[in-house]
Amino acid sequence: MFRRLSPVVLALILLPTALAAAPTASEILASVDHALFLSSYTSRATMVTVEPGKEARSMTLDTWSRSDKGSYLEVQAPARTKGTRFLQLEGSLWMFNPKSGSANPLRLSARDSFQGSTMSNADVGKSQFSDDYVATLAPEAILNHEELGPVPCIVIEATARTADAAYGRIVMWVRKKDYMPLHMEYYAKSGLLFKRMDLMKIRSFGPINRPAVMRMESLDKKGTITTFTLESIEARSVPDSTFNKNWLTR
Amino acid sequence: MRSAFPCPPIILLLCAALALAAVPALAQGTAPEGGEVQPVYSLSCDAAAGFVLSADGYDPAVADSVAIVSLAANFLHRVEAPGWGLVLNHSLDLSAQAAATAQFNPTMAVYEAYVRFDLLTGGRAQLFVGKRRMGMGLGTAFAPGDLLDPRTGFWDQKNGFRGLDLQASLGSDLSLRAALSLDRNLDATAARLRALANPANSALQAAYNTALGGATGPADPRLLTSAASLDVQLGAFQIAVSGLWRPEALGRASLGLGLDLGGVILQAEGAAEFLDGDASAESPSLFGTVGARYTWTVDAGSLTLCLDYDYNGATGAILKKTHYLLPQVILSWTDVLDLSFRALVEMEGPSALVSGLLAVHPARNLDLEFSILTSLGESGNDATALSASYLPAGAALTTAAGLSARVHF
Repeated sequence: MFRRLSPVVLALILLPTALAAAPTASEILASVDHALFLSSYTSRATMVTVEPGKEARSMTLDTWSRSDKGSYLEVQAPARTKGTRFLQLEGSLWMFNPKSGSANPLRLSARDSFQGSTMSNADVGKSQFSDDYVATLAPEAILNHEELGPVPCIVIEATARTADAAYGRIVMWVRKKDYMPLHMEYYAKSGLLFKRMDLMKIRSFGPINRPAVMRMESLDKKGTITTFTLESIEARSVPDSTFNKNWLTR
Repeated sequence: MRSAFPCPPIILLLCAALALAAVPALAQGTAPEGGEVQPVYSLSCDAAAGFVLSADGYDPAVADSVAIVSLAANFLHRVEAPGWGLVLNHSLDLSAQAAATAQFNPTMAVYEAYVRFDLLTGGRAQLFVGKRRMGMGLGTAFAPGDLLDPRTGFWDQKNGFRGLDLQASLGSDLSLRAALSLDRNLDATAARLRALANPANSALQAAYNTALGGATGPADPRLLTSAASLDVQLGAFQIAVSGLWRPEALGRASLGLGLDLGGVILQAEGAAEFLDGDASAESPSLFGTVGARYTWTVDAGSLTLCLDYDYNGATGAILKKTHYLLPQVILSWTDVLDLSFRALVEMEGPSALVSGLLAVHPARNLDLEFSILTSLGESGNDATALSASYLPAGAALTTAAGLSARVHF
């Protein structure tokens, strides 16, 4: 049948199909968001930070998150900071410690380190990249993944579109076959590469398959690594009231 | 002109309406989709042991010096369930004065003991019943509008108030709050019971009369204090409006503005106070504060600098002069140390109350704390008077230094 069609007509027929098959950078960034986060969820994760010559520090966090609202986090361990709460909203971040004797939440900067880890406050609280970054495609590459070996990847560059973004640019290696993010490199607004993250242990968490382990390494402080291990994540309807400062001090 | 109605009717009506609405809302619950969520109990506590040495001046060898062996523990119990919550926040102090005639007065303080009911669909409102800490307005160092549960010192430490507290949220950016304090009613009730138990004791009868403060009895609505506030977040801007009302005694309205300017947190707040609740008075007392805060972060370390100025238009329970400055420096290195320095400077004397705290974290849940508090300036000045609330009872003690170990569990 194809022999009867001229190459031009054939091209016209196949072009839309070809265009539809090639997702845009924005769509891939949205796929990354979908791969990492549910639209409304609760989760529990443990964050361990290792620095050369020092004892490893760990923290267990419960998170309530909605992509259209923000994130509410509560520290479960260690005992010293147990009960400390964080509320990440569009354009603002708040912290409240019920053991402090105060009744007022404290406003924090999204770019600051989260509890001394290599992750920023925004890394922990943000529930999607698409809000703060605009993506462009870079040449495809083979990623030598520590766990999976050589993996053909689409590479996208996500550039900050808001002043509130924690990073100037994030380069993401996304597995070609299913758009699963496997590696990210974080650049400061000055252009300096200063963190990189490997995503590993892909497994099923009920409604989604996603990496259970995210290991972020600080490049400006050699040997400092924060490993974020997701223990559980569940799709849940998180009420609006969770994303108001009133809920922090309840 | 005195108010004919003892309390703003809107606040009472709002509390009553939402309290009535609680029953059907609770029946629905706010359990997330995906299954039942059972009540969860959690406990967070810490205990500290050490000693505090207080003296008049810097020489601990002077006769007036007092040594205290300190032993105290703090407990925070919490129950979270769909549609409701429970909090009990208390401390137990077993400190004793180390002297020839040792003084040992164990005390238990309850800062918060309340039940929370989530109201309306999605828990957009909460009703709190019991004793609770409450902050109003924006000021983190000075807070002209924060009178319902006033601060106990020159930083944001509170003892809590007893009564009803109703919060509502409209989206993420708008919060409403109305509260009714029964503190004075309950104090008068307690004084009355003591007086009734000892009718021959004239001092207890006098104390009861003082607690009434001209009211006819503990249930007199003139002993009630009510407050309402509105907090709006507009991106980097924050606006807070609040008002406090004590029938035939006091009314205070405040307006606060906050701004996150590239990481610099700026705050300004002003308040006007009308005695006797008469808003038409020619000369209301004015209060105001402006402040700035900035934090530098490097890896696990952070340095925060704060500077606040306060204009105090009338003598209060804690601040008795007009102009104050409060510089603060806070250095933190996660899981290594925390160092803070604060100075309340009364600019007219001048005098100052200076405090410093160094907490070193040698192990995961262990802190070693060294603290110092001293008042500078002439004896009898404002800072010296203020320091009395932080120092153990004694004759003109102006300096206290403490060393303690604290365990979190």
